[in-house]
Amino acid sequence: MENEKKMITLKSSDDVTFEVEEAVVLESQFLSHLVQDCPAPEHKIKEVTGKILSKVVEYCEKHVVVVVDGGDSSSSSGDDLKKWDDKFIKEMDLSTVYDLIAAANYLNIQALLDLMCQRVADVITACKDHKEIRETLGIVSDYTAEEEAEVLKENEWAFD
Amino acid sequence: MAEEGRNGDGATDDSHRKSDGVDLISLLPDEILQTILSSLETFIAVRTSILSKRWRHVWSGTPSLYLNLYTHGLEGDSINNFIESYTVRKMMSFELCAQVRDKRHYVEKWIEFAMSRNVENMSLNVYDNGDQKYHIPDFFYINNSIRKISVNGLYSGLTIPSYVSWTSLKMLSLSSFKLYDEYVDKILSGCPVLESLSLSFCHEIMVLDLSKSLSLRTLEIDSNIWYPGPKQIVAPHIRRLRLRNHVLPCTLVDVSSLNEARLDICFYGPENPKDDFLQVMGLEKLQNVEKLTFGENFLKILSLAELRCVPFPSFKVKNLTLVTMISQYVIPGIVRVLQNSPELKKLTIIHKSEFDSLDFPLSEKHIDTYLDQCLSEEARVFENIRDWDIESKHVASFMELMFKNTKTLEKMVVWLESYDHGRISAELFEMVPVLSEKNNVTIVLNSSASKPRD
Repeated sequence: MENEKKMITLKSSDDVTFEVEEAVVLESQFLSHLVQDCPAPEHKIKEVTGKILSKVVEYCEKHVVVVVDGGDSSSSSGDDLKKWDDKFIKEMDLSTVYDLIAAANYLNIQALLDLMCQRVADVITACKDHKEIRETLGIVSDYTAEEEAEVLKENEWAFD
Repeated sequence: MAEEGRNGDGATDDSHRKSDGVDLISLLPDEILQTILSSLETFIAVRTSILSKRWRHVWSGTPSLYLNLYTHGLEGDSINNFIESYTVRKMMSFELCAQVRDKRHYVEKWIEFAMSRNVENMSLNVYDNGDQKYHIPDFFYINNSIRKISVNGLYSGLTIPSYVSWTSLKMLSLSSFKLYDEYVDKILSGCPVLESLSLSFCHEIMVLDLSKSLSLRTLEIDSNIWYPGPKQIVAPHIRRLRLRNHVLPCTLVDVSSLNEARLDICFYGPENPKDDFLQVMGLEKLQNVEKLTFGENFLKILSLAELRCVPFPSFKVKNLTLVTMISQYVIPGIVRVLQNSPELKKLTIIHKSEFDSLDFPLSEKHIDTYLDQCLSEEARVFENIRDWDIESKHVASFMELMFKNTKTLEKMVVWLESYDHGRISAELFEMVPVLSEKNNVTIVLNSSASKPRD
């Protein structure tokens, strides 16, 4: 198994190319089908930019290494991976997080999608009220004062 | 209401596109927003309805709910409004935390609601205060959609109805219950496809007989001296066993399909343990296990057994993990296990700090009596060292000692968690290539500031 490392080239929407091992591509359900169905050496992913694809590749490379190399080792490797994940999302701005959510959703990489969604959930949890959530996430309310009062009343218990 | 939502969405989408993508999150599809809301406490998820029209009804399709009635009581009409607005018919998970007291009616209503929405994972943390028992309603025990149940009884009692039927249940986790043998039998007889059973601090079980659970693969038991686990384990079908802080004596009667075991044994009792305690435990039942993990206290017990010349079985283990401090007290036990493991390929050493040990470890004075007479020359290096004394040379000597006692080893993985791991690991990293070449073994050295997970 070790000697047959097949390489695959991924090309982003803005023509940035990434050469990765086939095992890395298999982390994505979408890409594994693509690679199986059409065995071309290069695959263009029109929906994902180079900036985001580089993050996706970075994530998949890290996760694939641990599974292949440390699959049977102690839970510490899982712990190590979690630490890597924490660092990976910590330095990321929210707009990159959204782009990665969209990319992970499109490429069907469940673990990456979950990680990114958790990051947004943490941001929401850290806000003290809905005004702060709006501010942090850049959401502009389009409710009239009356509508807002109505929504508040509808779910009064949650705003106690 | 649904139409209103859709109109609202359309209008919002347009306005957001015009706002140059400042509000990027609102452009994500409902399904993803609902994944985000799934990991929030439900009251926070519901609060997002106030953010903008786009968000008004998003929460109502969140597949997982987490209700904490301690912090946000949902009562009376609010429950009905909530249930009416909530659109999911096939729920992923439902978690409820509640103190029952006078809210029994609400608690039952929530459980019934989740079951009516075909929930897959159900987690209940409900209890009554005082001595009263909270009886989970009988209808809870008959269901065919639930795949995973986790119930924490917070040390209350449990009454099981005469008929239990969880036909899809794969994972069952029970915490803090007084659980008698016949309760366990009754529950298990209603779970034909159960794959994983976890019992935490469930006392009163004498014989845990899992021989009729043909699909059961994983058994985990957490104990302590106040809530000791079962005295006998009959589990011929399980592949993985995890005993945490387990109180001796406990006998492994039948674990004949076991492939992987992790044992952290706690030792309680003022008297010096009797000589036959290893036989009583059934250590020879672990002979065919391929992957073994031993905790520090268990290694000390093995040391004591070795020093008293108790006969050891031989092991077919290929992958052995030792989670321990480096000390003179674990050496005799480790050496014996290594010498009795002629097929060992991989050895992992997770060096735990002393502050991390189990409740009620075996008193070291029991071992001292014997060690004074027969501590081997190489084990003297580790005499009386404590976590803060550990130096690179100790770790290196420890590794050398491992190599000396095993012939078949291919790979050694070391995780350092010591007091001053930064300094130690820098020095050790320099020693590794020499050690590796000398012993013809691949060595992977890891140093991390936080503890490896249990």
